[in-house]
Amino acid sequence: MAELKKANSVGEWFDQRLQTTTLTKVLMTEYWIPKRINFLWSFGMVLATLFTVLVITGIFLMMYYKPDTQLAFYSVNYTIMHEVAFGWLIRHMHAVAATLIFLFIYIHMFTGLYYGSFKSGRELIWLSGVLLFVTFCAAGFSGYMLPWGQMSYWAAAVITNLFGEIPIIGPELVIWIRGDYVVGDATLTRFFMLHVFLLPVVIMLILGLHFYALRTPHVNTEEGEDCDFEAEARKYQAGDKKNSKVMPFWPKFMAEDIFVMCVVMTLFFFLVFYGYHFALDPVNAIPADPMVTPQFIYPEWYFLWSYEVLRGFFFSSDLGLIAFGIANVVFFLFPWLDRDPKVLPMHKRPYMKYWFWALMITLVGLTIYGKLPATGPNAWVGLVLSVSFLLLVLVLMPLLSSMERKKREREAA
Amino acid sequence: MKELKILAILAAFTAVLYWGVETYAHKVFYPPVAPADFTFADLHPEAQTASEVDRERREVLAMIEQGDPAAGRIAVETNCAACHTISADGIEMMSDEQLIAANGLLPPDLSNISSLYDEVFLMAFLKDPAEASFITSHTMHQREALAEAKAKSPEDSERLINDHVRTVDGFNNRVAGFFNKMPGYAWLGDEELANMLAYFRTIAKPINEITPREITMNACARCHSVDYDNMALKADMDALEDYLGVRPPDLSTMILSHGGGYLTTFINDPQKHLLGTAMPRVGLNEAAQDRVVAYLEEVGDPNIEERNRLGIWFVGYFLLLTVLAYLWKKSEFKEIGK
Repeated sequence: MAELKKANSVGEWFDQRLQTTTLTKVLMTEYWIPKRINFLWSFGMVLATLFTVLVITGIFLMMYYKPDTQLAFYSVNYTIMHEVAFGWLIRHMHAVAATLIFLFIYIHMFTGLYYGSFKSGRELIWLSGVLLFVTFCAAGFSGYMLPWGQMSYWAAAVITNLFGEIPIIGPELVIWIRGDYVVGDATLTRFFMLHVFLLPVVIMLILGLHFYALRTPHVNTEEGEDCDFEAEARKYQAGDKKNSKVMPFWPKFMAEDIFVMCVVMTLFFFLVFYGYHFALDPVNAIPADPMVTPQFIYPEWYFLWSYEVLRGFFFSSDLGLIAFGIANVVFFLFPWLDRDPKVLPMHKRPYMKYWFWALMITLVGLTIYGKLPATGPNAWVGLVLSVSFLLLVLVLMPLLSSMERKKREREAA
Repeated sequence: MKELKILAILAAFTAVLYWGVETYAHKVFYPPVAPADFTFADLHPEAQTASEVDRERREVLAMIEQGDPAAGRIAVETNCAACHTISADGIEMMSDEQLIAANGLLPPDLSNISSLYDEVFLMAFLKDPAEASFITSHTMHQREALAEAKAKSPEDSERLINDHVRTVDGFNNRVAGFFNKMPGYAWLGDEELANMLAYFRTIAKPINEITPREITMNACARCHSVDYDNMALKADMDALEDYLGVRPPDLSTMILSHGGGYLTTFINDPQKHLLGTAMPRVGLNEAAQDRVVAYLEEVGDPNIEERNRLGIWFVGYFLLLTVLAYLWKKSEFKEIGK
């Protein structure tokens, strides 16, 4: 170890031992972000903020929650909501953040899709992101079971039952997941463990990978243009800040992020106090009763589109299950289903721009019909939407993108 | 400008999603029903219009007005006191426990019934409890529902009618036992019944002096508990299940699971939302029923006041922070020309 000089300040003391100055440069002041971006680029930090809110409120809820079928409903609906000082506030924050985080995950994902930030070197950002989405889904599902209301119980019963359709191992798998022949105390306790320990830890690990995966390919821009980050950074550091195409993460990029975060938190707290009903399903205010099936059973809104793909093939549960399986993994394949390596935003792509909006409308349609009873004409609408979804992602995405590539190559030649 | 366009697109998609999975889905799950009817118009099948109902109601009320309370008291002591207490007048032949043991549930105390229940309803109820409580299949609403189903889908109507008859029949069988507990008193004659109701008027406290908790206890507690307010069920649950075919739910979180609007129409006429339900119509008047709903809200959702008071500070704080963050962003972006 080199000889240590006496430190003149606390900052220097830490710098000698942890190289905090270099670390700050690498992570913040000399981490370069392109300027040609819009507020959608701030949604990553918005998601990190909401995840933090979930972790903190979750810790407080855990102080009173009891993962036991006899006690769970009471501990949530009476102890936390009535007896604990501001318990209702903590629970509302947790529920609203859990719902909003899925809205923003979808926006964040489709931003990446729209601007082409999921391919040509950025595959790992996309893949780790989709993995985060899947893990968040598992966290949402396991968390929804914990209050042990009617919808907790029946959604858990219906969804875990799906695994029973898997060939050969299905029936055994369902019992293994539930820890019992039916959804019961063993199921509740293990989902509690998943929700408060395993899944949050996994999310944090993948989050680290997700951030790290950004560093080498760099953040994409609004126009998908190539940019020599090193040259532009030199230009910025030389003082030509106006003409450089990049800016440092801190304080410039974060100035925008913090503004967007404040807007989101204003909306968030407005919903927590005055519009939380969408995040707390009324049916779940009825204690779980295995003897009484609710008239309508539906998953939380963020699962509805894939649930509708499952139900869409109403004449064959096998086909539905296959389609459901595809819907759940197809996002992982997007970097390879897009056959055009050139990074361009959708509005600059002659065919894919229609594809993108068709996909958005199909997903919204699936979500809305996923909640309605699948009877009469609804079943047929569901079938059309499910087939459209599969056609869009499995056939039209590779087809249209390779047509675009050939068109561009023709025009260049 | 471009950012505003993006924001508008996000807002539009979010709004359509919200409308679809909340507003629209809710309407499909819980189709709107006619508003609560506190004139209990169906008790006057002859009356065609609201004014005719009103005239008939006034006739009944006039009869009660002219009734003889002293004669009424004697009739009540003879006919009611074996199963009901009237604590306001010192008529308590058995304790609550004894009454529950004898009846399976606690018949309500009659002290304040003329303040809590619609008197015209009470008159009809005394004559034929099952009919007035909508416990029989011969009710206006069920006939209406059937007619509606027929009009909507003629080819399906046969199946619907069969389903319907099955539920209602099974239900009537179950309920027959229940309403044996409260026999009809039509044989006493209108005049004697009016005397009894005139007597109840003389002993009832005005509604403002009765707490919402007491009203709920009188109207609901013989089938429902309210755990979160330590209101015990005034019945033997197993006996209740025998009578009704179901175990009536605890009411603590009803306001959260069903909402005040639903409860208002549901308590007024349970068959409107749940055709064939075992829950009888109890005939609370509007003021009393509003107090029951308010009580359930107080018990199930006690933080409304705190929520409204605190919310402004949280939202205001972040609004202020948003303004400051915007100014900071502006100043940071100035030197880089963004």
